[in-house]
Order: sequence, then C-alpha cells, then structure tokens
Amino acid sequence: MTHDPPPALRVQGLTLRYGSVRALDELYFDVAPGEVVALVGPSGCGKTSLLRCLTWLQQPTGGLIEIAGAPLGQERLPSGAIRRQSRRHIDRLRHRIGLVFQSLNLWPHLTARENVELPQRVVLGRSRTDARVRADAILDRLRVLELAEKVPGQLSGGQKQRVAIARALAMDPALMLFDEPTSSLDAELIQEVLSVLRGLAESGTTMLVVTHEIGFARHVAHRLLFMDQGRIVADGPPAQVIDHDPHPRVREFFDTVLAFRA
Amino acid sequence: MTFKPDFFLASLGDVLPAALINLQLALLAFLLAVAGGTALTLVRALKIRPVNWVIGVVISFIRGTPLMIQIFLFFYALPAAGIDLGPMTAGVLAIAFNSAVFITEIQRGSLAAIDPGQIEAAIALGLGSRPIWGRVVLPQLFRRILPMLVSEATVVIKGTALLSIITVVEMMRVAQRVGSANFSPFEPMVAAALGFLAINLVLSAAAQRLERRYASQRA
Repeated sequence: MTHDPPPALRVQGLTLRYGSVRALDELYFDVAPGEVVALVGPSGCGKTSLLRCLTWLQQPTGGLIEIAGAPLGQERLPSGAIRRQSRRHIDRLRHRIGLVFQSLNLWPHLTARENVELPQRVVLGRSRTDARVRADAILDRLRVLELAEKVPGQLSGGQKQRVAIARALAMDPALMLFDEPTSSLDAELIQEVLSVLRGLAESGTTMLVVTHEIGFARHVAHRLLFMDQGRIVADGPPAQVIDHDPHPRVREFFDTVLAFRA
Repeated sequence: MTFKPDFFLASLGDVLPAALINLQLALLAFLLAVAGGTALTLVRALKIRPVNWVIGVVISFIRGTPLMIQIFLFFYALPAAGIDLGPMTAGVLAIAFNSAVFITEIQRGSLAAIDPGQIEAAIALGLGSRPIWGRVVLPQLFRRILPMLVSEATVVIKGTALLSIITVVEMMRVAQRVGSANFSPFEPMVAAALGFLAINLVLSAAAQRLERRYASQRA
C-alpha cells in the first residue's frame, strides 16, 4: 500500500470576515508538492488577505489550513471540536511557509547574508556554520553571493528581491508564497525576477504566486486560480482559464488585460 | 575681580582629579538610564492601558520638574519612606531615573519610524517577540537614536554637578571648597567648567566616529 504525500497546502473553508464583508468566502483548494500556482484577480479580490491568512499574520474567521499535513493556527480534535493553537506552536510552523512580501521587508541593519542567517539560527536553531553554509549556497544559487556583505540599502530592487527569496528558502519551506513579486519593478527587472521564479519552478519548489503577469501565469505556472470578491471562481490549467474560461468576471479581466497587450 | 593665573593652575590641580568621580557617577547613571529607558519602552509597547497611564503621569512629572528637585526628593524623601541611601546612590538613581524618562521618549519617537513590514517579515518567519526586539528592532533603534543618546549623555554628565548640593564630593563641590577657602571662587569654577567641557568633547568626538561607521549602513 502506498501513501501519497500530503498536499503542500490544504485550505478548507477558509473565511475572513470584516463585519458583514467577506474578504475570503469559504475557500477550498490544495496545492500539490512541486506545483506552481498563479493566483490572479482584480485588486481587492482577497489575494493579499489570502496570503496573510496562510501565514497567520491575519487570523481567519473560519476554516482550516494544513501545511504538508500539519494544521496551522487551528486544528480539528478527534472529537471534532476546533482548537486554536498557541502562538508558540504557530511560530514553530511558520517557517514551513515562506512568504516573499511585495515590499520585501528585509532588515536594513543586517547584511544580505545576515538576513538569511538570522531566522535559521533563531527559529531552526542551526549553528553559525550551518546557517552560513546554507545561506551562501542559496545566495549563490540565486546569483547574489557576491553581494552577501552588502546591506539592503546598497542593493538594487531585483537584488533585494533575491535576498528576500533566499531568506525564505533557507528555512526549507514546504511552500513559497509570493505577493506580486513584479509589481514594483521596471520592465527589465520584471524579466529578471520572472527568470528567478522560473528557475525555482523548474527545481521543483512549490509556489503560490500572486501575479498580474499573464505571461508568467501562462508559461510557468501549472495552474491558475482566479479570485473575485473573496471566492475562487476559476481553477484550471493557465491557458485554459486565460483563453476560454466562461465565467464573466474572468473573461472581463483577461479580455481587458490581453487587449492592452495586443 | 581679577583672574589670577597662578591660582587658576593650582585650582586645576585640585579640581580636575575629582572629574573621575563625575565620570564614574555619570557612567553608572547613564547605563542605568539606558537599561531603564529601554525597559520602559518595552513595557509601553505591550500597550496595557492602566500601566501606560501610570508611566505617562511619571513621565510628565519628571519632564516638568527641575532635576535639582528630583535629586532632593531622592535624597530626602526616600529616607523618610524608610529607604536610606547614601548621597552618591541617591544622586545616581535620581539622575538615572530622570534620564531614563527622556530616553524612553526618544525611543518612542524613533520606534514609529521603523517600518512595521520588517516586523511582519520576522513574525512570518517564526521569530518570537524576544528575538524580534533583540535582533531586529532594538539594534536599529539604537543606531537611529545614537545622536540623541549622546546629547542625553552630556546632560547626564553635567547633571552630576548638581550632586554637589547633596554633599557628593565631585568636581563642582571641590571647586566651591577651593573657592571659599581662598576667597576667590572664579578660578576654580573655570577649572571645573573646563573639566566638564573636556569630558563632553571627548564624548562627542567618539560619537561622531561611531555615527560615521553606521552611516553607510543606513543609506
């Protein structure tokens, strides 16, 4: 008898309400290990809320999240009751999800290498040597090792982005989340960042990427989730959703975007 | 009144050795003030309403009354409450308490300038509140407030002169003694002034070096 590995991410009934507004409305989806998922939708559709809930920066009002089989934030007891986990317990699971913020949020007083080393040492308890070896290996892989001694203020936007990715990757996450990784970059840097993401995808990194880059969604992602008003209204192969999904909001969105590009 | 150079040089010899006392008292008071001020900042960040209200009242009292009166209170009022401290201890505590209040106010201002996104990144990576303060927030905070901290340190050093009024034998008190013993207060007072000035000039120079070292990292 064989056991399939658990999904990298399982979301069941995830809901976030602000008063009567449902920012997230009972979302259900899995992300398989190695899968690259593009999350697309108009602004205000709940994409960022979803990422914040998945990292428990924002506490959802309902639903369950599992990272590689381990419940995050709340868990269902054998009795069926839902129990909230302690902050400490949640902190121990958080490194399993690597979030790359839109604003990157590197620590400006530390060098690139120290940014990557610090969470490994503090959260995973790795030794100074182990953390450094791991940091340098990842910085090298992302081709920013020669900048290891620089502080973020001395790095370009694209370089900072690689360091932020390295910081999350060094924690060996089961899943990487990207919040609009290209939104604040100029055209040249967008290509640079997309090629980094493509490289990660090809090496089997599981990723959920909030993006407006239709080209990335079409050519790199295995799957596209389209969100509107807190719901997933389309879920399928990117080309299929982009070109043929019949949902009116999906059509409106992609027809507009594609018309602009044509 | 005439300025007698010979007497001035003799006064320097009497007064300057006492600078060591001011230096020691100031160092101790300032270290206590930094520790106490930071502790106050941490407590205030917990945002417990009644606690912050009490701290706020204490802050406005300390900021709104002369340090000299606070020194008197520590020296005369605490023994009345059964806590009998020598003049040096009472004096150091009074200055440290006063300075801690100014330091926590400086820190509060700069804390607001630290991007909350950095703290969210730390939380998302699984850092607990201790490493977030210790490794992310405080190191940046101290770099930002360094110039203000140095100017606070000079206030503390000058503040030790006030301890002469509660019988601590430091530069100021030595100067007063030499002055009255020779019926010529002017020369020893200038000598004491030079003593304070020298300490503060050395301090400023050291601080500027430190600032320049951090300047590149803040860019």
